[in-house]
Amino acid sequence: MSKKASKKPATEKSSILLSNEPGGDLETAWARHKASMKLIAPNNRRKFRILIVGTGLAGASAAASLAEMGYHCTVMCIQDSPRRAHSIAAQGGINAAKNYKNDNDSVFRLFYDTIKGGDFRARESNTYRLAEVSGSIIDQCVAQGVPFAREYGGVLSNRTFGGAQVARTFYARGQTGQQLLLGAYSALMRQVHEGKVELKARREMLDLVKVDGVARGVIARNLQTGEIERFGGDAVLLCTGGYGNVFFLSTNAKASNVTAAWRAHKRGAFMANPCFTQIHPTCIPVHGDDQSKLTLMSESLRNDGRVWVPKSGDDKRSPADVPEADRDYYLERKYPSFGNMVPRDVASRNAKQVCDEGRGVGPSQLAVYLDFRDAIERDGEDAIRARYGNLFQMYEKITAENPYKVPMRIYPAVHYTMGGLWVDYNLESTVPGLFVLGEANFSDHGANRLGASALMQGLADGYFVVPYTIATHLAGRKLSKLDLGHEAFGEAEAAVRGRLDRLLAVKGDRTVDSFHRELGLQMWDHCGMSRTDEGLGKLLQEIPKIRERFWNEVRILGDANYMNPELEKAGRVADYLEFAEMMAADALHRSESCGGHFREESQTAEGEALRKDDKFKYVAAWEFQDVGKPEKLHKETLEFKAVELSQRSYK
Amino acid sequence: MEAKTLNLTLKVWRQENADSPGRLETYEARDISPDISFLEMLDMVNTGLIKKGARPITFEHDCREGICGACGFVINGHAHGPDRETTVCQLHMRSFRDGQTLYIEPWRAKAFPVIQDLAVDRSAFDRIQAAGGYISVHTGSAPDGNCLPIGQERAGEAFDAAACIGCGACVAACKNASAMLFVGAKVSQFALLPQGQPERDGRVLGMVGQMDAEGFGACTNEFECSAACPKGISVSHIARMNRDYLAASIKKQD
Amino acid sequence: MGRFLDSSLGRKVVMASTGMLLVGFLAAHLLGNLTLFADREGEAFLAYANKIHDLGPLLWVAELGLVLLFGLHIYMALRLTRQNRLARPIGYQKPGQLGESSAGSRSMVITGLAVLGFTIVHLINFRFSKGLGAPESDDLLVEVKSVLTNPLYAAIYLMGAIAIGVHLSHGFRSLFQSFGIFHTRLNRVAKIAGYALAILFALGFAAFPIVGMLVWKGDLS
Ligand SMILES: Cc1cc2nc3c(=O)[nH]c(=O)nc-3n(C[C@H](O)[C@H](O)[C@H](O)COP(=O)(O)OP(=O)(O)OC[C@H]3O[C@@H](n4cnc5c(N)ncnc54)[C@H](O)[C@@H]3O)c2cc1C
Ligand code: HEM
Ligand code: HEM
Ligand code: SF4
Ligand code: F3S
Ligand code: FES
Repeated sequence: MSKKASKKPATEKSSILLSNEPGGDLETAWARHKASMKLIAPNNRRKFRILIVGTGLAGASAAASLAEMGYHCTVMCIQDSPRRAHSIAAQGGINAAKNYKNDNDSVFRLFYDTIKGGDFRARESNTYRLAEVSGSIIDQCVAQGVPFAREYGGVLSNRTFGGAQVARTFYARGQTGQQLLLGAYSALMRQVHEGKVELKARREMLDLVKVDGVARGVIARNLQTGEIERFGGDAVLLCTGGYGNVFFLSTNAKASNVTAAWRAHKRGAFMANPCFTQIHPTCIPVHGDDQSKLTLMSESLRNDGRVWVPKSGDDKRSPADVPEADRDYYLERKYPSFGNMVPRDVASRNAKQVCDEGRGVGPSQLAVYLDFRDAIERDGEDAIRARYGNLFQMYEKITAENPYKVPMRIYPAVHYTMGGLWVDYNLESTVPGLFVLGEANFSDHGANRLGASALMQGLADGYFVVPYTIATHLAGRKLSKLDLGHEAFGEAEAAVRGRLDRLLAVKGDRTVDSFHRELGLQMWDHCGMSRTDEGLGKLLQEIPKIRERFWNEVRILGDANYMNPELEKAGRVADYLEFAEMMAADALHRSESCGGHFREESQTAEGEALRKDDKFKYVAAWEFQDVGKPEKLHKETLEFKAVELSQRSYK
Repeated sequence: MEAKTLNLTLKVWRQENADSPGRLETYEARDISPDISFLEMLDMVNTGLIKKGARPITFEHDCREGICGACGFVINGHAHGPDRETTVCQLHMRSFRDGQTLYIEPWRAKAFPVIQDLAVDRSAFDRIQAAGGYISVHTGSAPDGNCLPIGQERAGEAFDAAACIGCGACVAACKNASAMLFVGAKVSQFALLPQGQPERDGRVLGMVGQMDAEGFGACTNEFECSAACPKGISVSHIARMNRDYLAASIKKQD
Repeated sequence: MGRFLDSSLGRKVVMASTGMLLVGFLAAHLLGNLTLFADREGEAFLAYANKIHDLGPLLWVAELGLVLLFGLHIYMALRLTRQNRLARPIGYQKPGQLGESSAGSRSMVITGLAVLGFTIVHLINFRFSKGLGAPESDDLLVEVKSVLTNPLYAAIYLMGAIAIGVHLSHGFRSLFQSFGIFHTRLNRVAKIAGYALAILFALGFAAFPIVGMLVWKGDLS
């Protein structure tokens, strides 16, 4: 293992990265692409088996749609039920360019906002298509019985979200993700009932199987019985979510992992822009060392809450006793036009900044106030309760503080990962036959995701994109007959077993979590809200050391022959320990600031993110070499035809 | 806020696997901060067990914010613990007193066999859902979302029913291990919405049939389910299902 | 129909219907029996009894109906109870509760079976009289009084009355939910009405053995 990742990665002007975009004008691109794609007749579809890993919005919607079209599907997920995929936790809402509010919204505006919000690091054609199908998603979900919020007259209700200037966010109280996922889950279960979907819950994909260079299956562990199983398909869909848990503390569910993506990466799927992570500004602060998970408070709180810290770091008065003159409403001060509503990355970075200045509040000093005093004075407590009652209740449940009386304390937390496996316009990765959907791919959000757009993307990919584009693979390639006995399956299975045995054989004295925490802390400090050349360099030296200690000191009791949650966790942490290195390398190589990626070396005089379009207007796609060896960088240059590149400003 | 810490005695159900007999084991949880969650407390106990070389306690969890429905066990006879409308992952240690003894047991029901320690197999819920818990709409065939106006109140009621997280606490709390609240909530959500009408009769017959086939008990109207439900789902949804079932049975003789 | 009666929900509807009709019968029976207290000589009671007996074949039909009601109610009760027991083979080492479950609701089979036990004794006493040491008499009035003044029977009747009360303390409220009638307010009313009815029935039926032991016993001796 080479200890030091070289700063300048081997680069290749890529001929591998064919985006397969249709070209021409964006408005007609998707229609033209669909028209040009091969078809598979309904009675031929049943000859194919599609393997779908993951049952979040992306996986469940894809499986339901494909099965309904006549394909045979095998669907697996880690949880005991597909309904528990991490998508269930999304709160705020889902965007769609319906223009129901008559505020002059359009597909183009949604597209533009998404591209701009992503700081011009996403592919135009993908993002445009996302905006284009967004309306159909809402129709589909309503028809499934998703109980969206409604107006008195019975029509669907919308709200503004994340600083958007139009109200295009559809929501179901504070549980939009839950309701959308339950809709997709019900559609999936209908296909299970019809016998078109074989459901494999409590399965963790531990390797990808390629036959003749084409993705033809996965090796998975049955998390209940411990069995190692082979699953085959004519195409494999990875819908396995994001890798935010590389930071240990995040708002992601505990089982969220990079394992599926990482194993595919090791088998040849490039990973794009891994350093693009989103840090959400309004989360409940860390309370202590035993904390296992961070909780998000919906961004909508910033509509009425005012963010502040005391002007002086020595001011230890209780918030109510701090007079107006001694408070610093720093967002309002620095960004007079957007104020508390600046985008997530800006809000997060500023919170970190004031805390770094020693002005953080609360026992940890790593928090800022989100104060509703003025809003309550203005609108009355009842109005505030009607708007945020459930959020206030959740806050009180966790902190035992009453936010009607005391300002909330919030701090940024890792929330979403824009980076992911590289895919082309068809959502196919660099491994033929391997499609990647939802948060697991890198495609639509560039360097920063707008609120309420991840749900949209997951469902767009699953309901409306992959069901068509998969035909390019199935009809376009000659596929050998599926054979689970093929040596490729044998080799992958042996690799998986070997790895589990190695983990169990360490028999050290430290818990898995202790390594995960250690890695997470390092990542947070050096690859979190702001990043420096020096910090990343240190990080790149630190990660291999932690990895080495892990493989020498981790203690996993029991065996692999039955349910063993520690073993599951260990496998995921082991993969994070490899993945993190690539992520840091990506962050180091991109010496510009863009979206959620803030390099301190690259900022304007006012301390705002400074993009460098001349050097970094590309997608960085990494090709795996070997563990501990720097990965090979491939670049997909981004062309902007429909939008003008501009520096974001929220002053 | 320097709150003092708690010392607790835990009596936890330990069971190697589905076929082995289980027993209660006693553990001490020391110096527990009242600000941590119940699952974080178990994490700490588990760290101690691992250090000692003993198999850590298996319990299910994922989101740890009360929405995925993965977590759940019984604490002193209360599904998800003593707090109302709270999952165990959201339950904080400040709800307990120093020196307390806590009995921690898995959901108990024939239809939810124990897999290991506090983890049970709830796939019966998935099969009930598959037996009719959906609206048959082909992807892409949906009319515009605003074609079907739905009054705010009705939409709200449907939402109340749809809020179920499928945790199984209702079954655990019911003296008959009945799944009526879970099934009633799903049946109700669709029964309340215009989209759900075409398949309304078949749905309730199918789901109730599957519920019985899974070996859940019948309801004797104890209303314990609703009290234990972390989402406060009302027993009025059970009543709606009863009504619907009666109506559907009369209409659909076979 | 087969599916309906085989389902837990269908069975509950049968329970609720038969339960409701049984409540109706009890109310009528109680009112009729109260004529015993109308006058010392028991004329009102005898008049009432004669009226009933005059129904002739109609009485047969009514009795058949009653047997059916009891039979169905008990059959379904036992089936459901069995199902419910099987649904939880292993119970909690430390049980607890948070909701509206009550001693009455948890002991429905026990109170039900107590009522059944009582009814059997009761039928032997009156319907198939001349049993179990009851003084032989064709005079219904004498028969009734002799039973109710017998300490053993009086105790059984007292137990029966209490069992009925406890059974209905949950049963009455419960039947609305089984029929699918639920409303937060109605639930509260039904609950209170259920308790009121339970107390009324328990007191009403208990009055006979009590009066029997305290008053009629003195009269007879
Ligand atoms: C707290 C929170 C709030 C959010 N709120 C919003 C919001 O308001 N609006 C919005 O648009 N977005 C929101 N997001 C983001 C959004 O929820 C996610 O990006 C999105 O749901 C991801 O969906 P997915 O289908 O790609 O993956 P997931 O829902 O993460 O599903 C992953 C699936 O893959 C399976 N899986 C993973 N690894 C493996 C493996 N190795 N083997 C087998 N199966 C595997 C899992 O079991 C699961 O079924 C929020 C995110 C968080 C954390
Ligand atoms: C005159 C006699 C009886 C009356 C008036 C009566 C009345 C009722 C009523 C009103 C209910 C509620 C039905 C519902 O919830 O839907 C009920 C339930 C029940 N009864 Fe009876 N019953 C009588 C006799 C019996 C007997 C003899 C048994 C013997 C086993 C019995 C066992 C039960 C049981 C187990 C329940 C179910 C409890 C529940 O569903 O809540 N009952 N009864
Ligand atoms: C405690 C006070 C009661 C008294 C004094 C009383 C009295 C009587 C009498 C006198 C008869 C005979 C009627 C006849 O043959 O003409 C009778 C019948 C009967 N009683 Fe009661 N009864 C009492 C309580 C109950 C209770 C609580 C029940 C129900 C559980 C009950 C159920 C019946 C039944 C089923 C019959 C038979 C009816 C028939 O065959 O027509 N009785 N009772
Ligand atoms: S009804 Fe309530 S208790 Fe039952 S599964 Fe749903 S959320 Fe859990
Ligand atoms: S507790 Fe059980 S008895 Fe019925 S009302 Fe709830 S399912
Ligand atoms: S862990 Fe998801 S609800 Fe508790």
